[in-house]
Amino acid sequence: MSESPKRIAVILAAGAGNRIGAGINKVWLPLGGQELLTWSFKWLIDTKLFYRYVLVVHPSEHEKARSVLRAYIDAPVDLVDGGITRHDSERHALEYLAPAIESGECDLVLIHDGARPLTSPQLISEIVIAAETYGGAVPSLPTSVLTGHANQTGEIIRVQTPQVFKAQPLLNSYRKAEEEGFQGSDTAMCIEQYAPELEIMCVPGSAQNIKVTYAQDLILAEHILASHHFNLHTRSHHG
Amino acid sequence: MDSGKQEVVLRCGVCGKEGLHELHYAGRLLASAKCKSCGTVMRHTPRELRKTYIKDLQDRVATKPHRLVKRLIMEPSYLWNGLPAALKRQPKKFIDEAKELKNVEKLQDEE
Repeated sequence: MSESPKRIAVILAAGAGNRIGAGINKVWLPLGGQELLTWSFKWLIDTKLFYRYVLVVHPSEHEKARSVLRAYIDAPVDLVDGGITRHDSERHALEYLAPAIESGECDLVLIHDGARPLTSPQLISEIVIAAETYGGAVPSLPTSVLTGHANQTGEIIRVQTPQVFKAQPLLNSYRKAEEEGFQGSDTAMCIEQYAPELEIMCVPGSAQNIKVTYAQDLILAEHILASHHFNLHTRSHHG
Repeated sequence: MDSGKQEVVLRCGVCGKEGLHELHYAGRLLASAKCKSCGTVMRHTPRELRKTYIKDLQDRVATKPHRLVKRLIMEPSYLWNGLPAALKRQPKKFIDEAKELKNVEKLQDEE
């Protein structure tokens, strides 16, 4: 891994689950005594692999985001307006980072779902190392359901976040996608479409790296955090 | 942070719909989640919730000084524009948490 970090982490929290227009964005739900979103920041910051962070939020939630960041996050975080879709939110973040990417100040970008609060620092480090070696890396788990992704050996997999890619090809891919009106369901899909030369390494993901989708996911997330004593650096007492 | 009652869009494991859920918290713990589409309520058993709550409360008390110092380092103004109000809220907060535990027991008895 390079000595001086030229990596930026982007967290998506623009509230796709809030399309119905009622209730709060789930990233602001309490989890273990603090907002769900703050756990992702904690694990990313703990790795010390990033020099800058970007939080993509709905324009109406900037004030809320600032207040939460002030209370829990001790790192530079820029707020960027989210788009209608996840793909649009990623594009907004990458265009915001374009000056840093084009000047060579940033050479690797991590993109993570704010609704995945249990991504361990170890998994983040493994993904970053793989992306620095190959150009791109995603955490994946085997699945019996067809998802449209296959790993290096052709096995059908489901991918998680964080996903990490070389910054310039990532930016170029989103610009080409914008020209052609392409919308990918995740970052890797856009890279596969517009930067096929970039090798994407599938790193073993983690079953505990859940995305909060169902109500029971919140209880599971609470249990996992408590069993790790609110510190994912440690192993749980369940082993 | 405020917990108490929250409304949020989640997917229901029973009706499968993505819709509004009403969540009730007891301290840091999610006590119950109700799907407002189909009415399904998901909750801990009262015994399990009480046990987990007590364990969590012990952890909250034990880690409070550390968390408070960390918060003050990051946001010194919290000492005068947040902490006094937070201290005043504490008794009501604990009463509400006890009420939420009682509610879960009551609902279980009714079933």
